[in-house]
Amino acid sequence: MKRLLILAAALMPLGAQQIDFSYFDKLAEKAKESAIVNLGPEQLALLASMQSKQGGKDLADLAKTLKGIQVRSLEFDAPGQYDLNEFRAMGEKIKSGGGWMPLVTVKEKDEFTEILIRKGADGKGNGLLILAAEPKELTLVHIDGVSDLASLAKLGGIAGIPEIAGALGGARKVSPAKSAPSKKNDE
Amino acid sequence: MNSFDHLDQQLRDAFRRVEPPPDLAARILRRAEPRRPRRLPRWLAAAAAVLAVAGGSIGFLRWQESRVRAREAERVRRQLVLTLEITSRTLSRTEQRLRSIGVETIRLQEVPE
Repeated sequence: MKRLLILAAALMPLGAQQIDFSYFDKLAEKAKESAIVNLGPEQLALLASMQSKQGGKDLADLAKTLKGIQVRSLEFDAPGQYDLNEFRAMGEKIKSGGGWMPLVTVKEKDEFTEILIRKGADGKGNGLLILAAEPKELTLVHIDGVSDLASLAKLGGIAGIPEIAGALGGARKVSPAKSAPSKKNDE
Repeated sequence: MNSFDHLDQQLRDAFRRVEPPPDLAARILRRAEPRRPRRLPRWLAAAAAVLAVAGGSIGFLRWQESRVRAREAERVRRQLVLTLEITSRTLSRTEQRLRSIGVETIRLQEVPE
Protein backbone atom coordinates (compact mmCIF):
# COMPACT_ATOMS: atom_id res chain seq x y z
CA MET A 1 0.00 0.00 0.00
CA LYS A 2 2.81 2.36 0.94
CA ARG A 3 4.59 1.55 -2.33
CA LEU A 4 1.41 2.29 -4.22
CA LEU A 5 1.09 5.69 -2.58
CA ILE A 6 4.71 6.52 -3.39
CA LEU A 7 4.14 5.52 -7.01
CA ALA A 8 0.98 7.61 -7.18
CA ALA A 9 2.81 10.59 -5.71
CA ALA A 10 5.61 10.16 -8.24
CA LEU A 11 3.15 10.06 -11.10
CA MET A 12 1.14 13.02 -9.91
CA PRO A 13 3.28 15.77 -11.47
CA LEU A 14 3.14 13.96 -14.80
CA GLY A 15 -0.60 13.54 -14.57
CA ALA A 16 -1.06 17.13 -13.55
CA GLN A 17 0.47 18.31 -16.80
CA GLN A 18 -1.95 16.28 -18.88
CA ILE A 19 -4.97 18.14 -20.10
CA ASP A 20 -8.30 16.46 -19.75
CA PHE A 21 -10.09 16.75 -23.07
CA SER A 22 -13.18 14.87 -21.98
CA TYR A 23 -15.18 18.12 -21.95
CA PHE A 24 -14.45 18.56 -25.66
CA ASP A 25 -15.05 14.89 -26.39
CA LYS A 26 -18.46 15.17 -24.76
CA LEU A 27 -19.40 18.23 -26.81
CA ALA A 28 -18.00 16.92 -30.09
CA GLU A 29 -21.26 15.09 -30.79
CA LYS A 30 -23.17 18.36 -30.81
CA ALA A 31 -20.65 20.19 -32.99
CA LYS A 32 -21.15 20.94 -36.65
CA GLU A 33 -17.42 20.70 -37.21
CA SER A 34 -14.64 19.52 -34.97
CA ALA A 35 -10.90 19.53 -35.30
CA ILE A 36 -8.53 17.41 -33.28
CA VAL A 37 -4.76 17.63 -33.47
CA ASN A 38 -2.36 15.49 -31.50
CA LEU A 39 1.25 15.86 -32.51
CA GLY A 40 4.42 14.79 -30.77
CA PRO A 41 8.09 15.48 -31.41
CA GLU A 42 8.58 12.16 -33.18
CA GLN A 43 5.98 13.11 -35.77
CA LEU A 44 7.65 16.46 -36.38
CA ALA A 45 10.98 14.66 -36.67
CA LEU A 46 9.43 12.38 -39.27
CA LEU A 47 8.21 15.36 -41.27
CA ALA A 48 11.63 16.98 -40.86
CA SER A 49 13.34 13.91 -42.27
CA MET A 50 11.35 14.25 -45.46
CA GLN A 51 12.10 17.92 -46.10
CA SER A 52 14.86 19.74 -47.87
CA LYS A 53 17.89 20.91 -45.90
CA GLN A 54 16.78 24.25 -44.40
CA GLY A 55 13.12 23.36 -43.94
CA GLY A 56 14.12 20.05 -42.39
CA LYS A 57 16.54 21.81 -40.05
CA ASP A 58 13.91 24.27 -38.80
CA LEU A 59 11.47 21.45 -38.21
CA ALA A 60 14.10 19.28 -36.54
CA ASP A 61 15.05 22.18 -34.25
CA LEU A 62 11.41 22.60 -33.30
CA ALA A 63 11.03 18.87 -32.75
CA LYS A 64 13.90 18.99 -30.23
CA THR A 65 12.11 21.42 -27.93
CA LEU A 66 8.50 20.64 -28.68
CA LYS A 67 6.88 18.01 -26.51
CA GLY A 68 3.49 18.07 -28.11
CA ILE A 69 0.75 19.99 -29.82
CA GLN A 70 -2.85 19.38 -28.89
CA VAL A 71 -5.71 21.23 -30.46
CA ARG A 72 -9.44 20.87 -30.01
CA SER A 73 -11.79 23.10 -31.93
CA LEU A 74 -15.54 22.77 -32.08
CA GLU A 75 -17.93 24.75 -34.22
CA PHE A 76 -21.65 24.69 -33.51
CA ASP A 77 -24.66 25.47 -35.65
CA ALA A 78 -26.23 27.75 -33.10
CA PRO A 79 -25.31 29.46 -29.84
CA GLY A 80 -26.13 27.88 -26.53
CA GLN A 81 -24.75 24.46 -27.29
CA TYR A 82 -22.32 24.55 -24.40
CA ASP A 83 -22.11 26.06 -20.93
CA LEU A 84 -19.58 28.88 -20.81
CA ASN A 85 -19.19 28.43 -17.05
CA GLU A 86 -18.26 24.79 -17.56
CA PHE A 87 -15.65 25.81 -20.11
CA ARG A 88 -14.27 28.40 -17.69
CA ALA A 89 -14.22 25.80 -14.96
CA MET A 90 -12.22 23.50 -17.23
CA GLY A 91 -9.77 26.36 -17.81
CA GLU A 92 -9.49 26.94 -14.06
CA LYS A 93 -8.81 23.24 -13.52
CA ILE A 94 -6.01 23.29 -16.08
CA LYS A 95 -4.54 26.43 -14.56
CA SER A 96 -4.58 25.04 -11.06
CA GLY A 97 -2.78 21.86 -12.08
CA GLY A 98 -0.02 22.94 -14.40
CA GLY A 99 1.52 26.17 -13.16
CA TRP A 100 -0.07 28.29 -15.86
CA MET A 101 0.08 32.05 -15.76
CA PRO A 102 -2.46 34.09 -17.70
CA LEU A 103 -0.92 36.42 -20.27
CA VAL A 104 -4.08 37.77 -21.79
CA THR A 105 -7.63 37.37 -20.64
CA VAL A 106 -10.54 38.84 -22.53
CA LYS A 107 -14.00 38.37 -21.07
CA GLU A 108 -17.17 39.56 -22.68
CA LYS A 109 -20.80 38.78 -22.14
CA ASP A 110 -20.85 35.42 -23.90
CA GLU A 111 -17.25 35.16 -24.99
CA PHE A 112 -14.05 34.35 -23.27
CA THR A 113 -10.44 34.14 -24.39
CA GLU A 114 -7.45 33.35 -22.28
CA ILE A 115 -3.84 32.98 -23.31
CA LEU A 116 -1.65 31.33 -20.72
CA ILE A 117 2.02 30.59 -20.47
CA ARG A 118 3.71 27.95 -18.33
CA LYS A 119 7.17 28.48 -16.93
CA GLY A 120 9.56 25.68 -16.19
CA ALA A 121 11.88 25.31 -13.22
CA ASP A 122 14.50 27.37 -15.05
CA GLY A 123 12.06 30.25 -15.34
CA LYS A 124 11.75 29.92 -19.09
CA GLY A 125 8.43 29.47 -20.78
CA ASN A 126 7.79 25.89 -21.78
CA GLY A 127 4.16 25.83 -22.69
CA LEU A 128 1.40 27.85 -24.19
CA LEU A 129 -2.31 27.42 -23.77
CA ILE A 130 -5.06 29.23 -25.61
CA LEU A 131 -8.64 28.87 -24.47
CA ALA A 132 -11.27 30.61 -26.53
CA ALA A 133 -15.02 30.45 -26.29
CA GLU A 134 -17.34 32.19 -28.69
CA PRO A 135 -21.10 31.74 -28.98
CA LYS A 136 -20.71 29.14 -31.70
CA GLU A 137 -17.12 28.05 -31.28
CA LEU A 138 -14.85 26.55 -28.65
CA THR A 139 -11.09 26.32 -29.08
CA LEU A 140 -8.26 24.92 -27.04
CA VAL A 141 -4.67 25.03 -28.25
CA HIS A 142 -1.97 23.49 -26.09
CA ILE A 143 1.62 23.77 -27.23
CA ASP A 144 3.89 21.91 -24.84
CA GLY A 145 7.59 22.69 -24.80
CA VAL A 146 7.41 25.95 -26.70
CA SER A 147 6.14 29.27 -25.39
CA ASP A 148 7.15 31.40 -28.33
CA LEU A 149 4.66 31.29 -31.18
CA ALA A 150 7.17 32.93 -33.48
CA SER A 151 9.07 29.62 -33.56
CA LEU A 152 5.91 27.94 -34.81
CA ALA A 153 5.43 30.72 -37.34
CA LYS A 154 8.83 29.80 -38.80
CA LEU A 155 7.19 26.67 -40.13
CA GLY A 156 5.36 28.79 -42.71
CA GLY A 157 6.66 27.93 -46.12
CA ILE A 158 8.07 24.57 -45.04
CA ALA A 159 6.44 21.43 -46.38
CA GLY A 160 3.68 23.43 -48.02
CA ILE A 161 2.58 25.00 -44.73
CA PRO A 162 1.11 28.42 -45.52
CA GLU A 163 2.78 31.55 -44.22
CA ILE A 164 0.61 32.84 -41.39
CA ALA A 165 3.29 34.52 -39.36
CA GLY A 166 1.40 37.80 -38.94
CA ALA A 167 -0.98 36.66 -36.27
CA LEU A 168 1.59 34.44 -34.61
CA GLY A 169 3.99 37.27 -33.92
CA GLY A 170 6.63 36.17 -36.39
CA ALA A 171 6.22 39.09 -38.73
CA ARG A 172 4.94 41.90 -36.62
CA LYS A 173 7.56 43.99 -34.92
CA VAL A 174 6.59 46.43 -32.21
CA SER A 175 8.95 48.64 -30.32
CA PRO A 176 9.15 47.80 -26.59
CA ALA A 177 7.91 51.27 -25.65
CA LYS A 178 4.70 50.67 -27.52
CA SER A 179 4.27 47.01 -26.83
CA ALA A 180 4.80 47.22 -23.07
CA PRO A 181 1.51 48.95 -22.18
CA SER A 182 -0.28 46.84 -24.75
CA LYS A 183 0.22 43.66 -22.74
CA LYS A 184 -2.90 44.11 -20.78
CA ASN A 185 -4.70 41.68 -18.71
CA ASP A 186 -8.19 42.80 -17.94
CA GLU A 187 -8.58 40.34 -15.14
CA MET B 1 62.83 -57.15 -104.60
CA ASN B 2 63.07 -54.65 -107.36
CA SER B 3 61.75 -51.17 -107.15
CA PHE B 4 58.55 -52.12 -108.92
CA ASP B 5 57.75 -54.77 -106.34
CA HIS B 6 58.47 -52.30 -103.60
CA LEU B 7 56.02 -49.75 -105.04
CA ASP B 8 53.47 -52.47 -105.50
CA GLN B 9 53.79 -53.45 -101.86
CA GLN B 10 53.42 -49.85 -100.75
CA LEU B 11 50.27 -49.45 -102.80
CA ARG B 12 48.83 -52.66 -101.39
CA ASP B 13 49.50 -51.41 -97.88
CA ALA B 14 47.93 -48.07 -98.65
CA PHE B 15 44.79 -49.55 -100.15
CA ARG B 16 44.37 -52.23 -97.51
CA ARG B 17 40.93 -52.07 -95.91
CA VAL B 18 41.10 -50.77 -92.39
CA GLU B 19 38.08 -51.07 -90.14
CA PRO B 20 37.04 -47.71 -88.54
CA PRO B 21 36.88 -47.52 -84.73
CA PRO B 22 33.47 -48.65 -83.46
CA ASP B 23 32.52 -45.20 -81.95
CA LEU B 24 33.55 -43.20 -85.00
CA ALA B 25 30.01 -42.60 -86.19
CA ALA B 26 28.85 -41.49 -82.77
CA ARG B 27 31.83 -39.18 -82.42
CA ILE B 28 31.16 -37.59 -85.81
CA LEU B 29 27.48 -37.14 -85.02
CA ARG B 30 28.32 -35.63 -81.65
CA ARG B 31 30.65 -33.11 -83.23
CA ALA B 32 28.10 -32.24 -85.85
CA GLU B 33 25.51 -31.29 -83.21
CA PRO B 34 25.17 -27.55 -82.41
CA ARG B 35 26.88 -26.66 -79.15
CA ARG B 36 24.50 -26.08 -76.26
CA PRO B 37 25.33 -23.35 -73.75
CA ARG B 38 26.77 -24.55 -70.50
CA ARG B 39 24.14 -24.99 -67.83
CA LEU B 40 24.55 -23.40 -64.40
CA PRO B 41 24.94 -25.81 -61.58
CA ARG B 42 21.63 -26.34 -59.85
CA TRP B 43 22.79 -24.97 -56.50
CA LEU B 44 23.97 -21.78 -58.18
CA ALA B 45 20.68 -21.34 -59.98
CA ALA B 46 18.78 -21.90 -56.72
CA ALA B 47 21.01 -19.43 -54.86
CA ALA B 48 20.47 -16.83 -57.60
CA ALA B 49 16.71 -17.35 -57.41
CA VAL B 50 16.73 -16.98 -53.62
CA LEU B 51 18.81 -13.80 -53.89
CA ALA B 52 16.50 -12.36 -56.52
CA VAL B 53 13.41 -13.08 -54.40
CA ALA B 54 15.04 -11.71 -51.25
CA GLY B 55 16.25 -8.59 -53.05
CA GLY B 56 12.84 -8.04 -54.56
CA SER B 57 11.13 -8.50 -51.22
CA ILE B 58 13.48 -6.09 -49.44
CA GLY B 59 12.96 -3.55 -52.20
CA PHE B 60 9.20 -3.93 -52.00
CA LEU B 61 9.20 -3.63 -48.21
CA ARG B 62 11.37 -0.50 -48.37
CA TRP B 63 9.10 1.02 -50.98
CA GLN B 64 6.05 0.20 -48.88
CA GLU B 65 7.73 1.61 -45.76
CA SER B 66 8.60 4.83 -47.57
CA ARG B 67 4.99 5.12 -48.72
CA VAL B 68 3.72 4.68 -45.15
CA ARG B 69 6.23 7.29 -43.93
CA ALA B 70 5.22 9.71 -46.67
CA ARG B 71 1.55 9.23 -45.80
CA GLU B 72 2.26 9.79 -42.10
CA ALA B 73 4.35 12.88 -42.91
CA GLU B 74 1.47 14.26 -44.96
CA ARG B 75 -0.91 13.67 -42.06
CA VAL B 76 1.51 15.51 -39.72
CA ARG B 77 1.80 18.36 -42.22
CA ARG B 78 -1.96 18.75 -42.41
CA GLN B 79 -2.27 18.72 -38.62
CA LEU B 80 0.41 21.40 -38.37
CA VAL B 81 -1.40 23.52 -40.95
CA LEU B 82 -4.63 23.08 -39.00
CA THR B 83 -2.91 24.00 -35.73
CA LEU B 84 -1.41 27.14 -37.20
CA GLU B 85 -4.69 28.11 -38.82
CA ILE B 86 -6.71 27.67 -35.62
CA THR B 87 -4.07 29.37 -33.47
CA SER B 88 -3.70 32.23 -35.91
CA ARG B 89 -7.46 32.70 -36.21
CA THR B 90 -7.97 32.69 -32.44
CA LEU B 91 -5.14 35.14 -31.86
CA SER B 92 -6.41 37.42 -34.62
CA ARG B 93 -9.84 37.57 -33.01
CA THR B 94 -8.29 38.24 -29.62
CA GLU B 95 -6.15 40.95 -31.14
CA GLN B 96 -9.24 42.51 -32.73
CA ARG B 97 -11.04 42.53 -29.40
CA LEU B 98 -8.05 44.04 -27.66
CA ARG B 99 -7.78 46.64 -30.38
CA SER B 100 -11.40 47.52 -29.90
CA ILE B 101 -10.63 48.42 -26.29
CA GLY B 102 -7.53 50.38 -27.22
CA VAL B 103 -4.78 47.77 -27.06
CA GLU B 104 -2.69 48.00 -30.20
CA THR B 105 -1.09 44.59 -30.51
CA ILE B 106 0.04 41.56 -28.58
CA ARG B 107 3.24 39.64 -29.13
CA LEU B 108 3.42 36.23 -27.58
CA GLN B 109 7.15 36.13 -27.35
CA GLU B 110 9.18 35.68 -24.27
CA VAL B 111 10.92 38.86 -23.15
CA PRO B 112 14.49 38.22 -21.97
CA GLU B 113 14.86 39.33 -18.38
